[in-house]
Amino acid sequence: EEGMEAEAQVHFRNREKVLVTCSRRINFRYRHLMLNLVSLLPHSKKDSKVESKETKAATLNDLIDLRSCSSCLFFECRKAKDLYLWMVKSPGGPSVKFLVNAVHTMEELKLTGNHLKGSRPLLSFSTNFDDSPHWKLLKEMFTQIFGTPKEHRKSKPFHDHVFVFSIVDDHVWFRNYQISVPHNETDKIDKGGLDKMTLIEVGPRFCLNPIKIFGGSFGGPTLYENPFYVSPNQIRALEKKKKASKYVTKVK
Amino acid sequence: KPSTEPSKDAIYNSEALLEKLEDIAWPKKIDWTQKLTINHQQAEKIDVNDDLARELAFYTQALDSTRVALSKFEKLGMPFLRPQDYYAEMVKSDSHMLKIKDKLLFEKKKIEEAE
Repeated sequence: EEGMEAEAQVHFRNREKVLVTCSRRINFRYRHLMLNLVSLLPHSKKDSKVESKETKAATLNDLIDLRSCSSCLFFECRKAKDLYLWMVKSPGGPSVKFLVNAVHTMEELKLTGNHLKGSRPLLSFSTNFDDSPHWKLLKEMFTQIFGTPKEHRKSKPFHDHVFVFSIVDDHVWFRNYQISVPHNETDKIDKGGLDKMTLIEVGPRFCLNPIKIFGGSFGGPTLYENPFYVSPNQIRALEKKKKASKYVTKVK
Repeated sequence: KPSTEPSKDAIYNSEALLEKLEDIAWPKKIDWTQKLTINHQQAEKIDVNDDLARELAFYTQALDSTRVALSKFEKLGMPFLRPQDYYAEMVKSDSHMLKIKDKLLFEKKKIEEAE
């Protein structure tokens, strides 16, 4: 039966290439997060900052084409404090716009793990990704964009780290851990080694709140809108209002 | 946090989402080693505001998934652990790791002094 299975497997070569870039006036921390991802994705190409606001979609699509990439991670920083991430499959779409929260970069000293540069990560998904169409689509996009293509020329033939994608509270949480297993040989774990295995966090950490999914590459028809999404601007406005009303009641 | 009343007119086009998924999906019958994905059943309720509980949930997910993956590699007879004498560039530089070590030593010393 196993032989049959092997025969049934189709020839497939993963040629994913990810363009990673950001908007101008991105702050230091977010720039570091972007650079962290570049170092974790050996199949990525970094490009300099993208300027104009109006022609952003066209400019980015041209850039993806020019660098012969099949997907893009675009970090858009607004008001020097809000970070949005566009995750895009190109040229046919779809694209997702996220608000990025709870960012910790790999530079932080409390994250003590480390791993080979270019080793292919294991990708762990919480099973609630299979619960609804928009999560299913996101899972496929994460798999294609964050996984390192097999036999990529910059990849290493060992697996010493794992990416976690977990949906909690309708947000996608990302973690990266080093795998530490006591062993002697490459293909044999010591007896009980799997039980003695530990993980050490490497970073970065971030949390993605999906805002919208579009049918095209950086645009197209809206296929999904997050019904719970409140923009950071609205949150700040509400907080301001709350403070103001507090003052009014005090005066009275 | 502002009110969490969901907006009633938010677009949700399941059909188009699934169609897009089909468009971009890789062939179904490819080898697992192409994808390296593992699915993990979360604990029932994770309190997102409890930092410790949340991080433990992620750690558990990573640990369980890694165990599953490593057993798969073993079964496939594929090498997957880096040999002790294999040296290559790491994601964090030696100087960065030295800083981490210094910080750990400093904290250890502080604890010892406090005791």
